[in-house]
Amino acid sequence: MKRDRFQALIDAYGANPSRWPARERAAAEAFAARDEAAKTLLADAALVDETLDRLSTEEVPARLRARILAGYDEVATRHTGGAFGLIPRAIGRLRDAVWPGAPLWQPASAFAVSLAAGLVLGLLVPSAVSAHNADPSDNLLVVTPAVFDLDHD
Amino acid sequence: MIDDPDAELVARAGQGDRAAAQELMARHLPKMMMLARRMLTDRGEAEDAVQDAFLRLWTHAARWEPGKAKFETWLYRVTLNQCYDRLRRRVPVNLDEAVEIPDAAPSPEARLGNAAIQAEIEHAISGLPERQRTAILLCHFQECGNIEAAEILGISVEALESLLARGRRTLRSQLAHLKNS
Repeated sequence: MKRDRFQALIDAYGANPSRWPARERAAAEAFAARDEAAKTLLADAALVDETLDRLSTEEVPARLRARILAGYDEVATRHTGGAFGLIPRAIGRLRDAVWPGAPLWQPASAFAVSLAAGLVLGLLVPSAVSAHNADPSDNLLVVTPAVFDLDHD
Repeated sequence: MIDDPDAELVARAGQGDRAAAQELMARHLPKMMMLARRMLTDRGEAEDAVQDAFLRLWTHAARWEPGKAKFETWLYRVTLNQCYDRLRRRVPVNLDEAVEIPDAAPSPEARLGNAAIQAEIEHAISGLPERQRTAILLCHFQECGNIEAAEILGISVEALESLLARGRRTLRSQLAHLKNS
């Protein structure tokens, strides 16, 4: 490595080798070890690094974490259709039994599941009563087929 | 194929796994908050920007395609876009010019204590042109590699190094007096 490139490197990335480009790190470290002038350049760059490092890390308030997770729950509920998600959730469980691992929005898996949908509807009627006691946190985004996907870019 | 430590969590979050969503939040929220806070200065706006960035994540998690791009890179870009939107709503900005902000720097007499020093450093960073500020935040504080940072900014590595060098030169001149503080 030549001095010009070494100078450009620490002008951009500072004195800490961990921030130097990985491909040039070894060459830069070797240059710094053998070149006396490099030590002065590193010392100057280190002053900026140390000043920036004095900034404290940002505390994340608990209320923000709660709001973010509430957003997740809202999206999940929207995708499962709230109370109407009982049937999609059941279809999701049937999907896993008929075609494990396949996302419902893939046409093939949706077709396969729809073939059994008639049976599911018949089986679900007595099950809907007990579903009211289901864990409200049991939200399944994956059960939403593409036709119900309300998010279009 | 990109090796992405977040790919599985994103897939699970997109499938309704709340625990996966919590883990994603735990991994990335502190750095996203730091990035937004340094970009926007205002804590309330930074929180809103980060919240909106996560909302985009939750909305798109089910459609995330692993292997095409690193998730963290995408997430930083979304966060920055939220910040840029809010900055543009404040005043018209030229990305290559410094933002004019009220001088909130402490007087020489008030340059006492860690809080005042922090305020000076924040003031110097917030006064940098937007692209220089973003480059320094990504490379110094977010510890992004040069290739990743350039990708987030949508520029070449050479352009990134130019932004970093100019930004650091400005910070050195503005903060040199803190050397002995």
